[in-house]
Amino acid sequence: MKRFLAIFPYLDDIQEAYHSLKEQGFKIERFFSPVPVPEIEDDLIPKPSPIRWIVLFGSLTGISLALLLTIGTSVAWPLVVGGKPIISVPPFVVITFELMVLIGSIANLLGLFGLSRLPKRVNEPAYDPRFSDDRFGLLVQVPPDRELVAREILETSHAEEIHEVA
Amino acid sequence: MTYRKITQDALRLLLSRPGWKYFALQGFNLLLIGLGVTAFAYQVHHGMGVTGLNNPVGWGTYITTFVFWVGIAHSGTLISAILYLFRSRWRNSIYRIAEAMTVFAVMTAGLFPIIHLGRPWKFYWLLPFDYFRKVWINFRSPLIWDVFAVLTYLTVSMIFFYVGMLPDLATARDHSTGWRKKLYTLLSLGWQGNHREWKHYRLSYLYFAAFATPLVISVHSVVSWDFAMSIVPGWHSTIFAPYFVAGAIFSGVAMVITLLIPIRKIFPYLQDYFTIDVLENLAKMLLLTGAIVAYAYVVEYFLAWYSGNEIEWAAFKFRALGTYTIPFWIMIFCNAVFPLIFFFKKARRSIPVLFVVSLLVNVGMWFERFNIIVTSLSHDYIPAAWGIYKPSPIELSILAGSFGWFFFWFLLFLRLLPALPISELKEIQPVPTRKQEVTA
Repeated sequence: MKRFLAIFPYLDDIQEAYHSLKEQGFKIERFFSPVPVPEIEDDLIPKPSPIRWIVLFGSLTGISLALLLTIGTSVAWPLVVGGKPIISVPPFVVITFELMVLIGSIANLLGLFGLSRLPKRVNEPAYDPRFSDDRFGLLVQVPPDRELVAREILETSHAEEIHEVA
Repeated sequence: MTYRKITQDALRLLLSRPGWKYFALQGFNLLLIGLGVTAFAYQVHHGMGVTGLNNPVGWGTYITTFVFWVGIAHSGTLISAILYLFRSRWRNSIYRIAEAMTVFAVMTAGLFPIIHLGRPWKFYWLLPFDYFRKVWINFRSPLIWDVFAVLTYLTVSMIFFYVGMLPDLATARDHSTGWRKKLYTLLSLGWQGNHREWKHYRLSYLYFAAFATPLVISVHSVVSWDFAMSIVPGWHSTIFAPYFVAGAIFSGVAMVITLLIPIRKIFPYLQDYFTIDVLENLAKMLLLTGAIVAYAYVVEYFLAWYSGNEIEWAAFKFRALGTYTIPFWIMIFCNAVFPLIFFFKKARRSIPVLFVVSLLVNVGMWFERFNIIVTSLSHDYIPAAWGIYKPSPIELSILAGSFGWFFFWFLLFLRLLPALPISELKEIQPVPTRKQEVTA
């Protein structure tokens, strides 16, 4: 199976090409853009991003760790300070909040890396440096017998360049 | 403005060769850092006696400067996270610079509690590390809350700063050569701007902003509780947390203005981004937060008077009319009076006025912390224990060094990392479409 990388200067053109290719049953492997384009991204990956669950998990881990740390260490060395109870909830809330944010944010970062498959090799053949400037791109899988159809759709939608990618 | 122009302008700032003035400035910053390091080495060698700290004033310039820099950090997060959640799009052009300011200000602030320690090499005793002997830290102490809050803030703001920069680092990678290309290739982690990356990125960024917003409020609240949790007159007040948070944002916004104006002057093509409208919005924020701070000053006095607590009232009278009357009135004029000029549109849009007032606010906010910390300690319950504190040259050298340290990192950032948020600036432009092109 061949792959075509098409480069577009305009968003409406690439949207047109995207929909026509989908209608014709082509598999779109990747869509590139210098800015987020939620319509196409959500169409290609319809499920909501699982980042929310990763952040929730991280935050709950942070809360548990903080409670374990504050209560656990106070009980391990029970020393009355200022006549306050050994397990003083209000001050421990501060630590719990901070660790919730800290571990939640670290989980968010790791989740983002994992889900976006970062870090990865940069100079893949199926990428063009102009995608980080002002061009949009589509990477399409094309079966050998349908090359002409794909090429025609891309050309009608005013693709600026069409490359064959191994 | 086209996508291409944004990329070009951002890369022009990043990839052009800095002139001799840049290196001269960095040299000056290194000199200041050298001065601070030498003073610190002297202090470590001779002990804390070389500072002006004494009994009863055990907290002085170092803690004042710590609170000052933590405060500066706050408006960066306000601009990057809070205004993001409010969809204030004018923030897009300046948020990277504000965020960088946050990271470097927290990096500076974090040094001061360690400098303030009599035995700074034992700083790790502030962390819960001693599992084997089970000697734990006291989680009931606000100073420990501070350690957790500041370290969390430093980590989260660095992560937020880096994640926001990821797409722009990819742009820099794609358009640079030589060692810079290697650096940006490493830093951008192979970001391509594909649908998968953007999809998760959008939500991830939202969560970072949602976390950073309460975090920034918690951090300066915790800093204020270093004081408010004690029973020292002038400190033991419930208004401290909101009062400190407003003050922090106030001083931070002033610092953003102080930084933006010279940058606009040195790189005139950036005036298309750091527009006079952006500066006017910042001036409005300065006016609002300044008004909250001024209100807090008045309420503090009202509470002290209305409580009928003689010691509290005496402490406040001492603050305004005693030994430290000059710092007090500097604070009042710089923070509560001068910013009022921004009620006039002409002043909000005048670069010299903005620059001068922002500098005055920076000065005023340093003195605010000095007043709160020093006057209360020097004049508490027992007249026999009253005492006066004067910063020593060692402390002032370290204070000067902290400015060198902050500006050194900031100037390095300006030439090494994308200071213009390329992808977010593109987001606020109309997307290029053929339809639009044809109509135009």
